[in-house]
Amino acid sequence: MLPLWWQAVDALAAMAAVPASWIYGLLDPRVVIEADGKTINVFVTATRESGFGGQVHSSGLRVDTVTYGLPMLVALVLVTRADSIRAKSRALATGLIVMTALTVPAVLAWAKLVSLQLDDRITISTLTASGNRSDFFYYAFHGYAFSQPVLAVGVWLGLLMLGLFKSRPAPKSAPAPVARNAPCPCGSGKKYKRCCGR
Amino acid sequence: MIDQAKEFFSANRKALRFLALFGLIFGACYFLLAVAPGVRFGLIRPYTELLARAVAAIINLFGAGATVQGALVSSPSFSINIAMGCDGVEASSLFLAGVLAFPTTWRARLIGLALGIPLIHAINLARLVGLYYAGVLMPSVVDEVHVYVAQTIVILLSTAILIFWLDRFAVQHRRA
Repeated sequence: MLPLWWQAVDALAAMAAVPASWIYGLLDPRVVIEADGKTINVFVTATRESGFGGQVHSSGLRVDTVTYGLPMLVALVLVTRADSIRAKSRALATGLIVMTALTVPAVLAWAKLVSLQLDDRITISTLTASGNRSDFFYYAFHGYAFSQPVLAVGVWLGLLMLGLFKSRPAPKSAPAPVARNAPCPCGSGKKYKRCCGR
Repeated sequence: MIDQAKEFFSANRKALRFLALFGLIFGACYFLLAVAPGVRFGLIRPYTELLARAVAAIINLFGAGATVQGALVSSPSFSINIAMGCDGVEASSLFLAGVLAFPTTWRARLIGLALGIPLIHAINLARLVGLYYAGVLMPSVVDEVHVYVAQTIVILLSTAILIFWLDRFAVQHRRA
């Protein structure tokens, strides 16, 4: 499982970088997000008004550090008893989609962190105040993105509680219509039209 | 589509309530213990220093010759700094959220917390000692062991304790 995940990290990086770049670009055009192998690079350019015009602050997020819950989730799903292989496959696919989708907010949070680091640098050098919002954000990010085993367990619990390991009951088919002169299906011996079909 | 969503919510009301509570309690615990600066510096930092002393005491039993400075355990062979993520906060928050979110009696919850939280911290201490020896014996892979393996094992064991509690205590006293 681990070698498979390691091989997929490049693709995961590319898949997370594209929507993250698009979403963050709408919020803050100073930020550029690009995938480079197993890393997602975030570039933030300081505005002219800040006095640091043109200065670029960048930082790389190793995508393996925010996706290593995936093999753990797969292992948890595989050892969980399911009603059928189909139910297990459905649970596995749902879990993988959720975990992969959660990588996008992790990248967005990293981009915000890098942006705050540049803002802090500007604040500290232009004002006497030592505002350090990026430190606070780093700890918040750490809990969300780096706690991959917790995320994997949370998603697995969700799959269990929502019954994704159980087979779906077959949809109830509507009863066939009863002819008016046929015997009533309730077993009374009367014609349907004289009994339940009145 | 709306009818399907309504049907899904009404069929899974209890499960969704548990999951929402679980997420909220975990987030609140994690924020309070690991992110809020007052608690992080006032409570967790002294705790990491206590952990460092406990690790040094254990490895010194086997002749490591370690000294402690704050949360840093130094020895001639290897040194470890007990930082955020090594304090067992994530595993404890996970367990706490699972215990508090599950619909059961307060007696069952108190039994779970009284037994589970100390056990998780004992496992975390064993992880730190294990990481020290991983650093001494396998220095080339200690980073990978630290980031991927040790954290995963602690969370898996915490989940196993949670499942044991659910099976042995919580379900028997379950509220309707």
